[in-house]
Amino acid sequence: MPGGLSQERGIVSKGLFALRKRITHLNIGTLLIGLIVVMLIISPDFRRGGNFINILRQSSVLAVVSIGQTFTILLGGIDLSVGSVAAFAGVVMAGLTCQVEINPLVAMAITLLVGIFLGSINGSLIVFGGVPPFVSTLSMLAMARGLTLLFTQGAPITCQDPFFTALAGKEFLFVPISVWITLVLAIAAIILLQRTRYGLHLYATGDNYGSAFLAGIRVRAITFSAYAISGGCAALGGILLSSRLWSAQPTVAVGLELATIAAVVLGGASLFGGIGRLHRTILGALLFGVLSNSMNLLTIPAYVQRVLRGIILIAVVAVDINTRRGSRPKRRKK
Amino acid sequence: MRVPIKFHIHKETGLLLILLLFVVTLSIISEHFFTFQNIINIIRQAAINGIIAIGMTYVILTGGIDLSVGSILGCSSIVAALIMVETELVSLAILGGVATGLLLGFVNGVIITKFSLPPFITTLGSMVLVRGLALIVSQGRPVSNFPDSFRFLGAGVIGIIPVPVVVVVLLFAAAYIVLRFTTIGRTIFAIGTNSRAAHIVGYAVNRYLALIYVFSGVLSAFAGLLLIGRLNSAQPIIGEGYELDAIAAVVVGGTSLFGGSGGIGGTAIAVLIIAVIDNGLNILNVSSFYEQIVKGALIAVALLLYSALDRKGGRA
Amino acid sequence: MSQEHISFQDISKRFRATHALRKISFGIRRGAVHAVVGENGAGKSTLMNILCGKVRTDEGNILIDGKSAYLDTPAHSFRYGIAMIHQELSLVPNLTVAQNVLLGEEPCYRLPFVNWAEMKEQARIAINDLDLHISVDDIVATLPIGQQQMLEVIKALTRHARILIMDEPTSALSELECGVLFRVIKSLTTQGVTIIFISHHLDEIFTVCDWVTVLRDGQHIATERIRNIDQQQLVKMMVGKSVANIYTRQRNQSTGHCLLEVNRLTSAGAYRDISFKLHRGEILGIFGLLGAGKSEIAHAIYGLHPADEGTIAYKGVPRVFRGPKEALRAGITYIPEDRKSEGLFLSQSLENNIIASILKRCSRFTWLLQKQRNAIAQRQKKLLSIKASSLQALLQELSGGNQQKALMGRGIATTPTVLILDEPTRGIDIQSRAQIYDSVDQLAAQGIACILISSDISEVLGLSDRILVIYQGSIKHQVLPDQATSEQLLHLAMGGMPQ
Repeated sequence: MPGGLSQERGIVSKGLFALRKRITHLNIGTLLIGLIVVMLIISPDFRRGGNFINILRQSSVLAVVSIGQTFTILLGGIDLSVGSVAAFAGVVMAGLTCQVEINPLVAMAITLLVGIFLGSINGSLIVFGGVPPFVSTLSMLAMARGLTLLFTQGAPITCQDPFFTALAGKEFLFVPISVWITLVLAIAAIILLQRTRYGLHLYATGDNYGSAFLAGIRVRAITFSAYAISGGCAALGGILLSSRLWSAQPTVAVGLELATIAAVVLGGASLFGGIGRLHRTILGALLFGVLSNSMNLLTIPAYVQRVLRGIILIAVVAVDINTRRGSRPKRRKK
Repeated sequence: MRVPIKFHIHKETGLLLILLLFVVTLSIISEHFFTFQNIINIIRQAAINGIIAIGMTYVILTGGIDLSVGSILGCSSIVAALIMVETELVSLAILGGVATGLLLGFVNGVIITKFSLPPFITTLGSMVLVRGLALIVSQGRPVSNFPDSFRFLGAGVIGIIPVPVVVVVLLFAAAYIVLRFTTIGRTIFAIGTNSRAAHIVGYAVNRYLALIYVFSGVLSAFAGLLLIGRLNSAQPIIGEGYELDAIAAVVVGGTSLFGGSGGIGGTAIAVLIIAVIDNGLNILNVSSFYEQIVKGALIAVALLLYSALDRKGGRA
Repeated sequence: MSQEHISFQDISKRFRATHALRKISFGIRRGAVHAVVGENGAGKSTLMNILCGKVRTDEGNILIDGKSAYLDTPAHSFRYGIAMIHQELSLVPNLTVAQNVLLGEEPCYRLPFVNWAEMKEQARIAINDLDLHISVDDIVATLPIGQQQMLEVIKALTRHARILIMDEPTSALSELECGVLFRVIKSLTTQGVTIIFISHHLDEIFTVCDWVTVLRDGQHIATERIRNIDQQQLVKMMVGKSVANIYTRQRNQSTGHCLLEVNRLTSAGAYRDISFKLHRGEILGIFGLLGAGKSEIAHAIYGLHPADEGTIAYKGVPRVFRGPKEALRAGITYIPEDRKSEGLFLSQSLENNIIASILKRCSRFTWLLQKQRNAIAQRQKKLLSIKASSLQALLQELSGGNQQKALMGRGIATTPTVLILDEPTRGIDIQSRAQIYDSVDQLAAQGIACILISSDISEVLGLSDRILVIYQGSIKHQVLPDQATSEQLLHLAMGGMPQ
């Protein structure tokens, strides 16, 4: 971060100050509700009941993987491998179910364990190897994608096992099963982060590693576990994604890591760790879902949608950082 | 030769040994490997990643990161290609492409320094945004069939040496010299080591940071010109994922993500190692699917070694 | 004997060549507030680090409750109920008060579920015990620094600390907050908690402490009951008689023309109404204790943080430097106080550190001229006798004294007109000190105007032509070194009245 030039910053923050007063409560929730209200008014298609279900179905993969990403970012780390791990998990799931033909529930359990295992490799490299998270997960990004291509020889594995396709296709109480899974995972994760010692210790570790260590928290175990959880969530996301597509494709979920980071950051988490709430990450993922749905309904060209997405990410974070500045001391990265 | 960082010696010689090991092994296994044509071929294939990695090395040396290089490459290629096809003026097309990269890099730099947004978020946002621009400008369609004069950068030959090889070698040499022998290099290292102290000793830290992102943008645009010249076609999605390849080359080359330590030499060797591995797998007829696995393992092993080296050095 | 909570017996500690502590022996009573005082480098922090288990003794014994204690690691020392409240707090900024107080010892319904209500209740009880008003739901980062300090105390107490070491606890506190702290300290002592109080402020010591131990140059000078001595006696014991003969400077009596004139400089919360003139060839000492606002004045002159009000005239022309770059170009150089975080590039070579501010002079069209660069660095290395294997040695491999000399060399290499030295000899050995003093003396003789900012009395007295004493952000007094003693100076800097 640049050293100083407080004068220039002063001017910028003065300029933003007027703006800030009006949007102190600009958070992801209001943004989302605002967007939904506007869409409800202007678009009849948006109001159709099926559309909401559709948005939820489409957002579930991003939401599930972003839940895992939240854990690593709360620690001030990052997991770049989630996209590749998700793709690999899809292959394992589809392969075990339709090629090895084992019980799909068992296949799902094995797939989740594979995801957790890959995440644990990230965790080990970081905790025991002293490799920065960015680099260790970058290496996993390449390796998991390579494994995916190797297993599939580049061709998709189609799978029409009824259990497998039901995950994203079938509905229970009018809501797709994948959305129920996301909901359950989200509630479990929120409880874990907000109600347990583990969650408190995770926040403390990400906020101030040294103080957490001094307070007797097992900072290394916490760090390790966060990457394992992220790997597991990525695997679950991969399963849901391949279920929705009725096949495991080796090249899906490229760039998913960046989308999840964007969702987490949009939810107000700090990349330096210690700040962020899981429910807001899910709102962040949902915002992306509603946004692309709305832009589709308004027939905004797909390309313009990308530009808008980029602008929204930068703008939201810029406002967030500039409103939060000064409330806490700046610290160097670990 | 003066070396600013001590471990730097170990890292660079170590990398050189690894490169040598690969080259010797592959030469023994296959007679097709160590031929002039193949070596030139390897360097040509390494050229695009190499050029981007130069800018990325500078950015990472200041403690930042640039995720938008792939998108900038795509966008400026499209702009150049469109100008080429519309006006048929080669110089204007090249100028337009480079100017696009310059402008986009400048936007990154301004957002990072003036609004003090983390480089990671800024360039992540611009990565998405700029890719969208590329798609809008091209309306999603590839632009193809350029005159030979435009393709010269990517597909031309000087004597028996392809132009990209000449270009990448010259750029690396220049970047090395600037980093090692000029005040610019000293300032970059100073900012990456301790940006607060750099401000106090009188460096224009913010101006330098902004310029570094401009530099990275220009190099990405230039790499794009080479790439579309070789392919004779500019796709709007060209360059996707290149940012991670470049970052991989830089960190394997021994530059620290925290800034202030590393150098261009390591990046050059790392780019070559990655290209040699690709080429070797190719020659040995190994499925290209192994490529990524090997690359990933290489990153992990290299960084584990550096981390062990640093710890040992820290204790001594 | 049963009253002695802690007893130091013949504690000695050496760091390489320097004796940090020599045969220290004294006792601290249970439930007492015991001040440990001494100048910088007297050995206070080493002794406290030994008590905390961060540093091991070479010789000697520590008895706690009459029994020999093994204080090899912080964890051991913690088991004896010893806790230190640092100047840099060790709280987790974005957690709530309750979460911080009980971090690592959370009450649970049944593992792993935290009982938040119970947690808040326990925190509330702990806070109420000390009669404080801090909401347990507040985020720590939003609390004023004084309350954060209280939290540290509460945190230590909930972990059953019986001996609290407070290192300059009031340095960041307002007067009101100090009052609260003193009240808390009193109530703790009635509960049998022993407090070791490290402070530079005489008033405080005489307000809250029962006992005082004076250390000087690593030796135990005295342990007295506060009510048996007065401020004058205490200062005398701290300063001692011996004045080292490392100050050889001949005072500059004639004043050259005025180079820098600072007029009514004010910055909210840091300093106010600062006015002085600086002449050619003069060394102006600015003396004050930690946190008096000295560095901030230097920052304003150097363009790092502009002042809110007031003017600075340089060579007779009013100037506002918008950054260090402009100040340097005009001929003003600042040598920052914290050499690690603000001064040096530790992972870079000695040469690169010395020439950092004069890249332009060592280059032509940005091309670095190796010979020139080498020659300049070599000259500074020789001038200041910097001990390094070569100019290419990394700065982190050098000793603190040599690092400081490198920083000094960088300043001199800019060939300044005005040189501002901020704590130029903090924590370095006597030899390096002497060399730095020598070079400052020479610079002044060449006509360079120096501002010497320091909290080291003998340094200011030995080197300056004129001394400004700063207390709580304003100039308290101007003294000539010949007409002042160390005792008087310290007295003034601690807020005492001139006699």
